[in-house]
Amino acid sequence: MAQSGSEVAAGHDLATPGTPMAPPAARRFAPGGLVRFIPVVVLIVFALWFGSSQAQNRAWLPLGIEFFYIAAAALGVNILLGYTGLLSLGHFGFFVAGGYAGAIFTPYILGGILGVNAPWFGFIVAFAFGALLGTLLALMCCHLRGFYLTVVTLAFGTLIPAIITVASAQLGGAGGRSVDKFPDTTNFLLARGNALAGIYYVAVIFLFATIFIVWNLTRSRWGRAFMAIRESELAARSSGVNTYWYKVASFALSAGIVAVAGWIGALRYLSVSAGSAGNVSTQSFRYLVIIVLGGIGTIAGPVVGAIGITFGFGLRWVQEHFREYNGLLFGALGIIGVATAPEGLVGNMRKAVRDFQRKQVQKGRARVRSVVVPDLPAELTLPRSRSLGSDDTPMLEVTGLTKRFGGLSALSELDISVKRGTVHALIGPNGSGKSTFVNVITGIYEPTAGRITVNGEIVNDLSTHKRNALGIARTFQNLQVWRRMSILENVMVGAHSRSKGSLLRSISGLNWVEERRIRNKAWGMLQFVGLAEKGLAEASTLPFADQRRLEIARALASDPSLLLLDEPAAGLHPTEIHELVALIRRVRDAGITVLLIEHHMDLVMGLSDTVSVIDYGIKIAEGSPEEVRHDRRVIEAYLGTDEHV
Amino acid sequence: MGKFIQILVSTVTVGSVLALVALGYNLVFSTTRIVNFAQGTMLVIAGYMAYAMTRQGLPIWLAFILTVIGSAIIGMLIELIAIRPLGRFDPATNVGWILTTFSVGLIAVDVIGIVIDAQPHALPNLAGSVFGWKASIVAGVPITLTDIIIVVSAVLLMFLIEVLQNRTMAGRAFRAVAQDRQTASLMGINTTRTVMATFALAGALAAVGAVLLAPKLFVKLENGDLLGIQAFIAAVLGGLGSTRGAVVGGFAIALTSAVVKTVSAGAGRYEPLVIFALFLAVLVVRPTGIFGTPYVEKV
Repeated sequence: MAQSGSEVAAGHDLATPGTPMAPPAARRFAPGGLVRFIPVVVLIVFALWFGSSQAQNRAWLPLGIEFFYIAAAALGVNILLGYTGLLSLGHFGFFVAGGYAGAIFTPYILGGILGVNAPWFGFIVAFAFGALLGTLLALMCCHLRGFYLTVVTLAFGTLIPAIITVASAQLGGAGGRSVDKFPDTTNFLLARGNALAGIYYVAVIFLFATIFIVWNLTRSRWGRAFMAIRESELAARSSGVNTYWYKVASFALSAGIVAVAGWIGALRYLSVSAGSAGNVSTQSFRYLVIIVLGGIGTIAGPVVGAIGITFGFGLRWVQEHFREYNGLLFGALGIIGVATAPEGLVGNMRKAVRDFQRKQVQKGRARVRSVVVPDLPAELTLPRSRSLGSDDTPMLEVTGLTKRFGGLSALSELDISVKRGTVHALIGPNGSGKSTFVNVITGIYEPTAGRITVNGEIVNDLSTHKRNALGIARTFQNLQVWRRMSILENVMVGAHSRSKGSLLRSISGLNWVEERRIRNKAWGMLQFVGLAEKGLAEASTLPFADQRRLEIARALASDPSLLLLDEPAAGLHPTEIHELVALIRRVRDAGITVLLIEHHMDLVMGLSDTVSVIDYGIKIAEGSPEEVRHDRRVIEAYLGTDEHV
Repeated sequence: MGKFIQILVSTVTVGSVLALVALGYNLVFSTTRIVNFAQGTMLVIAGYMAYAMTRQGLPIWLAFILTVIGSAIIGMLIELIAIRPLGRFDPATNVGWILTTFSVGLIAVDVIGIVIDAQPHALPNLAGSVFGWKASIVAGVPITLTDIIIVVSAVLLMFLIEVLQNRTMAGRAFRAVAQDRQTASLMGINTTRTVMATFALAGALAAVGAVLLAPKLFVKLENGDLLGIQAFIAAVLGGLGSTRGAVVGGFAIALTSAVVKTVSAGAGRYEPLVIFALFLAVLVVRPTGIFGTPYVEKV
């Protein structure tokens, strides 16, 4: 943390009395402080040593070049696969495209149009062309799910050789095209007149630039949004992330990086070619093997994997025995990797270290690292809900709301008005349409008919993420916590609608002032729900009840005017429900209107100002808890003939 | 007229072949909800297996039968290597299976190169050796017995698979396992064996396709990528898991490529572009294919 703060001894269960089995807090994902820069320093030293000692080595220097640009390409693919969770089997297409773009456009634009000699322009050209191509592909496939998306990328990859054949006059046909105009690297940095060594240093710089970009990305609102999409796209959308465009952006960035790698590859061989359709998918697959072996969704992973694949394959023994059988090696590594170390070398090592640390702590041999929580008031005043309409305007008003699934009416002609600053409960038996109601309000489902007004504004045509920006936040009945992100990060994504920062600012690290603001805000929200002490732990380690709190904190981080709680008490025991009631009261006291979808009668009766009862999608009663409790129709619908509520 | 007949013949034969291979994808998908990216390679393995046997002097019909059995075993092996080690997983979110099935395909191609060789080979004509009829000319287009056998056996196999899936206990088990493996196993279905059975069936199907196709396409390593990807596109176009879809998808692709090739002599190189465009267009409009059930988001 950048600013002063109080140290809270982690491991103490201060805030969550209902959870005796809480995991040790402060389980960081990576070592803190300067320790985490050690791998980068090691890599720099290695790059310099290798460059100077192998400069004249015709066998190893090319391997070194290959390692640095392949590692960078793998990091680029990992942005898409590891962080955003989208699997592409066509990325080698971008590699090839980058090479061709650099080879064709650089001399043309520089010599023909600008009339200057700036060879570095090739990198910009390659990146731009790759990113453009990636955007085009992404626009066509980002609405698809799972392997359907993968299939389109696979087809895209096989298309590249086809295009090259069609345009063989310009692209040199299947045999490839030579790169005749390239940057003069003979005296670049430490190259000392050796052009190949110059390219080596180009590749080195490119890898470090890529590491810098990915490092910044994963610590920015963009990177967190990517990870949120990976973990639960639905929750990401509901938290204000325009998931389609974020996926497109992730695609473009990753394609651009791979394209630059392709340009460096073209410089190294002084030619570009795509090979056969099979070659494109095999080469694309190679990136995946590198990532999976090294560690998916990490920075060190793809680099470690690339070391193994490039230098390992450069060994004389491998060259002698497997020169013709790359597929066999990659395939075997892929299967062994997935089966034995699903999180890769780096991921599994980290896990081992964490487990070791936890055991040491349990045995009392080590101290748990403390979490520094920023100084914040214990009881946080939430920002008053922004008053867009007058106080008389209902916070939420639906009229004639109908939702049909095929012939089945989940909601029919529903009129509900939620008063500002109240807790309004929506109850009904199982299957009465409660969850459908939430999903229609938040824009997950489109209503068949009817009007939805929030704060006086009709929101029917707004998409889910825009409704979040307008002030609607929700929690989920089936928890949608982003499990493989830290608790703090979960809440930080919650503030997505209320934060700023372009992708460019994010990857260059220039957005740090805003990032710090988001982080402090998230700490505040965690403090508010009582989870601050565990902030840096992975969300999946939280007990069930705490995950519900986390969802509330995440929803609150978007400064909502209206908070939709979808069965928040489901699965909680009485003590936890008691705490939940207190928390919801505090939320209402902060000026936020709460729409409570519930099953649990105790919770509803003690807390609500107004209760609406629906059955089979039709409103059968409305009024104060007391009135509803004695309504004959409610009793019938809810309990059959039983008179007891 | 000649061109029309040519397109028709080519569409029906190539379409049947693609549908046949697409069925292999469907079978595996029907129980596991995964796509076996090694399906194209299974075709190649079977082809080389048959070639190796005929090289040893076996008559083609015997080699054919042995290949069907051998290929079914290969199918089970693939399941054992690529799917079983992953344990229980959700195919929609866990992508490990894409890696492993793809890996198996890569390995197999190289192993063929080591064990047999990497050259293209011709197989004796199964249809010709059994029935002994060369070719007829219809409106200037040669139609061979092979063409007819391909179409007839494709139709027959599809019919059999449809019956198997919808009318037999085994087929019901397939679908039950696909829907919910845990519940299926609670109901007494041996899910492991069911999944394996579909892989074996897919393998056998690949063998039939490989031997039937050999007179037209030879036995060669590139067939795996070529047919594998095209048939896969056919399966996705039609809607994965749907037999009708496999046929419609296969015919759609065959028709497209036949038309493109017939338009002019030089247009053939545009074929992959056109197929890709068709594929994308369908995916954009209807991601689950023509006969697939549209995806419904569960909240």
